Amino acid sequence: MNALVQVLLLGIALGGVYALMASGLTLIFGVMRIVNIAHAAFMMISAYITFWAFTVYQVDPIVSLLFTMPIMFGLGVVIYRVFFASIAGSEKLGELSVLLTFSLALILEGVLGYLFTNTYRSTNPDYAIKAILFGPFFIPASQLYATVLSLLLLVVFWIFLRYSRTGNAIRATTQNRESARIVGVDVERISMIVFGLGTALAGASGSLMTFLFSFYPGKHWEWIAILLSLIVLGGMGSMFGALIGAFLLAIASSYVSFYFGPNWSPITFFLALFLILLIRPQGLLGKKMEA
Amino acid sequence: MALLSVENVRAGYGTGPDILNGLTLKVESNQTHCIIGPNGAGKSTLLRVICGLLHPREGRVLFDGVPIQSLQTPDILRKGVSFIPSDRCLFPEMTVLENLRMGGHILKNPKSVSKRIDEIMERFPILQTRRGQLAKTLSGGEQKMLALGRSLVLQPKLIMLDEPSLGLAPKVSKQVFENIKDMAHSGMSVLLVEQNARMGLECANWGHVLDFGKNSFEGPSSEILSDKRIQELYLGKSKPARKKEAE
Repeated sequence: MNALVQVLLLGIALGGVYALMASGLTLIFGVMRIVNIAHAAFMMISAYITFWAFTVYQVDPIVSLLFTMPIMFGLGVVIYRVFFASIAGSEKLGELSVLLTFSLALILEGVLGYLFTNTYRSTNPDYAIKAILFGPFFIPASQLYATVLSLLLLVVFWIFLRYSRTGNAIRATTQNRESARIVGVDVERISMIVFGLGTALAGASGSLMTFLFSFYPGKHWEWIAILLSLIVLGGMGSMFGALIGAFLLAIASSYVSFYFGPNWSPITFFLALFLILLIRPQGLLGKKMEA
Repeated sequence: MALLSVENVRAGYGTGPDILNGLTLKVESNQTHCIIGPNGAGKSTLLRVICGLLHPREGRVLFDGVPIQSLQTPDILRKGVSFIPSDRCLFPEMTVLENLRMGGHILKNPKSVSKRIDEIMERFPILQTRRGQLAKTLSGGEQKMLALGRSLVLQPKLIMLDEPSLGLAPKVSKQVFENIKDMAHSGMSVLLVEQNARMGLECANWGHVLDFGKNSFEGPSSEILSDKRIQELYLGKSKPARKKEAE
């Protein structure tokens, strides 16, 4: 019994990080209908910035969010302007954007591999090896910090979406792009900001990832597959759906890992992906796609 | 001087053919104009051109004497033109109040937006009752009221409606037309596109018949309503024999 609760706690302690990783992906899809296959590659860029800042200047990976997020925001804006500005929101070209983000992911992987080699990396701040005890149970301090921080960031982001003028314009554009135009939202500018924000969220999770999981440039393929299954489960484009999908699958995969061994844990995500596509293709909180 | 003047406008989507073929049309101040015409005649395209969602390939659009055909939508809104598309024009996952606030998105002063929203809620008490509800939970008629209310936040001089009666029960659309008449009485000009030609024309003082992207006929709406030929073609007096133009 205790073991089952312990596994649940470990699952929960990863859920927040998964949610943060997936949030940017689902946000960008919601506003622009772009499935950003390069999302996890952006996480890798931020992970390398964090890794080198830690290794060379001993900057704590959590502190490094202060610069990885703005840097990734800027990178997102530039990439949006160069590659996506002309096709965002277009029904026909929107589908092609998958190819574009796919090749972007390949290019980023190649550049990172060239610059930093394929050695496995991770950061080891002192909390990376600590555990926090709750009676008979424990949670690795790194997971707890990362998940709490992730949830905190998501709450701040939610408040921004709900109460700021730009946030409302983002929500309006997600719900009805045409009507957003009609009330005078500069949809192109909003798309650019959203791409930047989504990339910044990838950056934040990339920094946190460095002390949770080891990484190398090609690792992003594993991550993007997991993240896509999370947001398909939650409902593409729904932030709250991404949160629920993240926790459900983080918990499920930690049980799978407990019963069948860690090697089987990734299969949880793909099994869930198959099942959800069979049973409820729009996801838990998603709306049916309109023609 | 006419409030809105569309001059020889030619427009179409992407690389497609011209939908509007040198269309010319005027809307006078404090008047309600209704545009009727077969499917594919370019009625909705015209409204999209006027509010800057589609830029014309040729021709001019003057509002208050100023050319607006190359302006972006926010600037056209600022000049006093509002547009209500035919359906699904709300933000479904936002509340009634949030939808109204989005109507004032281009205004930077939240206080003046709130004040205007209060006035609109007085005008449409149902919106006051439903203020905290998500827009998607409203009935068809209530959604239309909300769309009307949202477009009034900017206090437009010209309000354009694309098929306001679409998908509404006859009783409800009657009420919507009453609201449109009210707006006209309070000094706004209205440009209406309506499939339900009779209802539209009855609420307007001037009518336009659009065909093949041109203003093929216009006149006081009472005259159009009594015109034999138009009765046959658009008002369903006898069985219409028109061929639908393939787009």
